[in-house]
Amino acid sequence: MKNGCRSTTVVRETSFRQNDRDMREILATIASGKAQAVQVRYHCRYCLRIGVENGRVTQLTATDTSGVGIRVLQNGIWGFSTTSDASLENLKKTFTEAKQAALSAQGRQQEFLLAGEPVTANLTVQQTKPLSRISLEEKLSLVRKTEEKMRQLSSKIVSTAASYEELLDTKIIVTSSGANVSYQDTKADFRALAFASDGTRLEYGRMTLSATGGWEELFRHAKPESVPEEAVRRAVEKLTAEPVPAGLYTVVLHPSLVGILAHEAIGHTVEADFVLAGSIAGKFLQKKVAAEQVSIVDDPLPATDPAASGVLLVDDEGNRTRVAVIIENGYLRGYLHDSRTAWLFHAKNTGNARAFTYRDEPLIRMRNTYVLPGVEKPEEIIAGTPSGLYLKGLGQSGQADANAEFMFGVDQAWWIKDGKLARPVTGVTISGNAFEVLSSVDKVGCDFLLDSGAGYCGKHQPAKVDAGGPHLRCQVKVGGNL
Amino acid sequence: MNLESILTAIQGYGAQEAEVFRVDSCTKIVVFENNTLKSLHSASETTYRLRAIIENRMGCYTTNNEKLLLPCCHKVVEMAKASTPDPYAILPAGQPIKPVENLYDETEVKLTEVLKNGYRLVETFRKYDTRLSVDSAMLQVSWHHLNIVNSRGVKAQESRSCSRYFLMGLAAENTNVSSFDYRINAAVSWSKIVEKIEEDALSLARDICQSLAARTIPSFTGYLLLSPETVSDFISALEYLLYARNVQEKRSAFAGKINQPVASFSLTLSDEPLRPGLPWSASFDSEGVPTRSLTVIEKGVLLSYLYDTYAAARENASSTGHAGGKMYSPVLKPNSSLKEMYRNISRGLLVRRFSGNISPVNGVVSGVAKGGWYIENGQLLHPVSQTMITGNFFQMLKNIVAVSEETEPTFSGYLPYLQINDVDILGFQEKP
Repeated sequence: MKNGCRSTTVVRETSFRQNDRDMREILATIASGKAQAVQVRYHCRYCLRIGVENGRVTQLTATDTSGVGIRVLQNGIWGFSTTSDASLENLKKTFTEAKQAALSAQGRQQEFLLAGEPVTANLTVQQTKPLSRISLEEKLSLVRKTEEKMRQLSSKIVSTAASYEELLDTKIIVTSSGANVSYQDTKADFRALAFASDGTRLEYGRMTLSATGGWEELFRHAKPESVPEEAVRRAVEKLTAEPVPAGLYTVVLHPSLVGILAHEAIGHTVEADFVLAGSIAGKFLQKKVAAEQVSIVDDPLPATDPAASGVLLVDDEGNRTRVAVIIENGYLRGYLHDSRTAWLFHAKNTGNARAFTYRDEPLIRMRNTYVLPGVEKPEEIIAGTPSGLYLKGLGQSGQADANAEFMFGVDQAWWIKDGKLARPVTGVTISGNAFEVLSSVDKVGCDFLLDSGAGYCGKHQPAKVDAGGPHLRCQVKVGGNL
Repeated sequence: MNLESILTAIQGYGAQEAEVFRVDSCTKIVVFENNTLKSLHSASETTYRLRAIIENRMGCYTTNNEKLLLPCCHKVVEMAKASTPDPYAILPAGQPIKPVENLYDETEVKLTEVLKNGYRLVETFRKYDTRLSVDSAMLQVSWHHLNIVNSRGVKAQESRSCSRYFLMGLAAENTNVSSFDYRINAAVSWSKIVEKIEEDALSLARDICQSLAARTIPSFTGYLLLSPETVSDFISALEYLLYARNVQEKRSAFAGKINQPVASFSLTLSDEPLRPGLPWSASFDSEGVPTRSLTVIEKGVLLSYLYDTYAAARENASSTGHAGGKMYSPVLKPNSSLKEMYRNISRGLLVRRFSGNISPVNGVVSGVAKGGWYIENGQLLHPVSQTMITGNFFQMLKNIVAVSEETEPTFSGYLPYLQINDVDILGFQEKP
């Protein structure tokens, strides 16, 4: 489990500001209210969005929201109430509403207790160059330059867009279980989108960077100048791509698609709330579900990339986050838990309870989900493939079901002929049963990349996640022409 | 602070034009997960969206903290100053707005009432068959009061209420697990949504149980019968193509196609935001522009795009009241009964849910049919598994042969079934 260890490099203890201390005292007063358990979460978010399209600034918006979500547990039911007024007087009223909500459903629920390791700390993610110290003008200038550069790179480019988004979150979580934590989190995305046309068909290429942290973390994998070039290259190349015949193929998956497979097709099936609802993973615990070379974890703080988008230092129930081992050497070893399911399953709480805003109730969500690297060199995996497809990046979207059947659109695809990448192909979607596909894996690369951080996972509410792994070779069904 | 005084404050910081959009919301929700009640949630919130324009530069700032309103009036002006001049960055002028009737139900609904009906939804579904399981369910009632003013004479307010539910379930029998499937319904009035609960829960239960016996089929080219929920995926792709901003930015294939055929003669699509008593209706958009009935495609011919104020200004046209580029209540004109559509299908596939991609950019349609049924000689023969659909969206629009009279509620409003000819359906059945 090379990547299973925790890193502390991005965790920084910070001193409380006075208003944070005041808020913590208010929340502690509420959390001490009479109930089986109380979770009080203050969440303040500043969101900045900048968008430039074809030479015009089309979006320059900021959103500043804050509020408190209060959960009260009473005999097996959570009452949840939220408010944007964080005064003590109003929070007492909100607490009463949450408690009354819980009491209104009494007598119909299976009771449970809460399992977890409450955190008492002041935490902040590392920002090598804090986003708040980069001026609005500088951010806008970079977005404009990126968009302008795309228009200059090829005569086939007919439309371009570039954008920047940052989320600056401050949370204070106080619970009756003993959590008392302040958490400063920042996440940012930088995107370029180019549309290319040859007069008869329209294609698009995109390039996105994403990070937890600051400006340097955002550009840790690529320099800003390379972003427009890559978006344009992808768009123009697709104009020459031809449809692929449908069928069962040997494919080499780039880490970006390996991550999607790990997240969408495996990760959702092992969320313990899905398991309780009947996910097929419920029948496979400790059973062999993948090839021996395959190990998958959900990691709150990957040592290999501590600026990954899904970094989570403490969960939204105030509990410690820990690595969740999902598949180890082909065997299904565990699920993703919050405090309730950890108690119900007699498992360790993995700290997967997340809420996107103060209005949202914490749900079991993934963080950074990835396949652990193997020993093969990626170029040798391709060289050892006589015929097949090389697939990279998620297309429009991906979905998976409780029975582990999945479907992903593929952004970029090429034929592999005689061990070499050949012509690009288009219109590729892959589908199948995730456990069957993972059982067909015969090569696992020694490389590693987390590469899906610009997207959001949707499960009643959004969540910033990341996913990835090494290159993999396996068999999948490809949807294409008849 | 009242809205006019906020406007004055923004202008006091130097804005030439200003807009304030306030939304007061109150929501009560019950949530079920894995067959049991998970939580009861009550929430109330007021949000303010401020927009400022200085010398054709626009900034936007949103907050839910009334104490920060004055500082935000300053910040939105600073945002505008940081932007670049754009002659089309304008606010709409005030226009008369005719209220849409019956968009608000004043009935007080207690959380205990929402809870009681949430149990009805879940228990009706589960009692149908012991193999059924609720993945998640939600019953929600919400009230919204919208107020918008701007410095160019826009002044509008409307109260809207919406009661809705969502039920997602699956069935399991040993290691045979069905696909997820779901039902949604929505109404302005609480009593109307309550009366639909049992019917929808039972219909979902039946569909899911039947999908357990799914079989693979061989590949063929034939008819596709899209359920209303799947049609809503088509509508989303059409909205992208119809949004004037995408047309102007040359990323819509509908650019330059006004008065030209883009679909078959069978397709007539309009947006009807003024129909009384529907939760998707609205008398004005989020810029305060009055909405109106708009036919966008008639007998396959493209008649109009969807305009907001910015896109309209670029063409010296009028906004159609489509800020955000989404339709309110898309209506497809019917030309057949569902029974007749089945009768005309010699070989085809009914798709209840489409797990795939419909790209409005390059037209690629590819994905998996969920809850699909194989149809032969007008008869639903059996549910299918591992079946994909592939094709080109623009060609599929031209291959629409029938639109049903029957409609069902979806995330996009009441939509019909669509019958499309000549679609590649990929089965993964081994050849004998």
